[in-house]
Amino acid sequence: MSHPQEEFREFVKISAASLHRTAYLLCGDWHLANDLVQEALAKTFRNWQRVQRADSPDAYVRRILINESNRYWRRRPNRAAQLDAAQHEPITPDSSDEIVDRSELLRALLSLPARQRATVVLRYLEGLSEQETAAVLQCSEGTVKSQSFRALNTLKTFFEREELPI
Amino acid sequence: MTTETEQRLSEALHDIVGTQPFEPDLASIERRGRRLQRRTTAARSAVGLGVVAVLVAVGLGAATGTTRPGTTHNHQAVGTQAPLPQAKGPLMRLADYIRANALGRSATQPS
Repeated sequence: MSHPQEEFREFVKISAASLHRTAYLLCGDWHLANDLVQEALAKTFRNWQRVQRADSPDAYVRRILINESNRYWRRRPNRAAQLDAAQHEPITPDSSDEIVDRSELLRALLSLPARQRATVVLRYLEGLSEQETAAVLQCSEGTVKSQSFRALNTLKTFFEREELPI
Repeated sequence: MTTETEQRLSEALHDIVGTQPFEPDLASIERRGRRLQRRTTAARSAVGLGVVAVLVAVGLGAATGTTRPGTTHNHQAVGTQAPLPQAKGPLMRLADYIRANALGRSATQPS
């Protein structure tokens, strides 16, 4: 096995779980998240030399993943409509209130515009700084701040309404 | 500074994703990556060939002096062009040689 291939495999081993989590919160479906991560990693493999030369290979790959997710939503507007309809369905209480709350939060997250959703996931799931988030999304730190502010405002109403148990 | 909402959101997001196992299919990723690579190479080659074809077409057009319709050039009319000096063929050169030799002999021969 060639040296770059070994490095690629090592990179996949380290970052796959984190990419998978990010993908899930971007699309709300574990199976779709699998596909998005596989495709993003295939594109990473194709451009592996360029990825290695990048200032932050991790940011580069996250950008590929977010672009893949956005492309998916653009190609399948029906899926977005289904999701939209699902958001208005009444939630049946489950055996655990916590599960209902998670589902509610996920819906609230998925109802955010794509950029705000990506900002929330990178900042509050992956714990990236504003600077790192801006590097992934290829925008200014000011944009990250404003997107976070708007997203938090939307989600804050959810927290206040639901008083989500943590 | 992290606000309370940010803190709660972060914890709730971690709670949602939990510890879902994920085992990437490396063989499939690399196979798909190679296929994408080949497709990119083929697309780039096609673009390169297209550019070469256009350049050749433009070059040929310029060499044969063809102009696009609608363009104006101050070309002389065909009938008024001065005849180009033409290179002599081998037969013409032979005729010249014989004529020159014949004239030279007749000039040096005593009558």
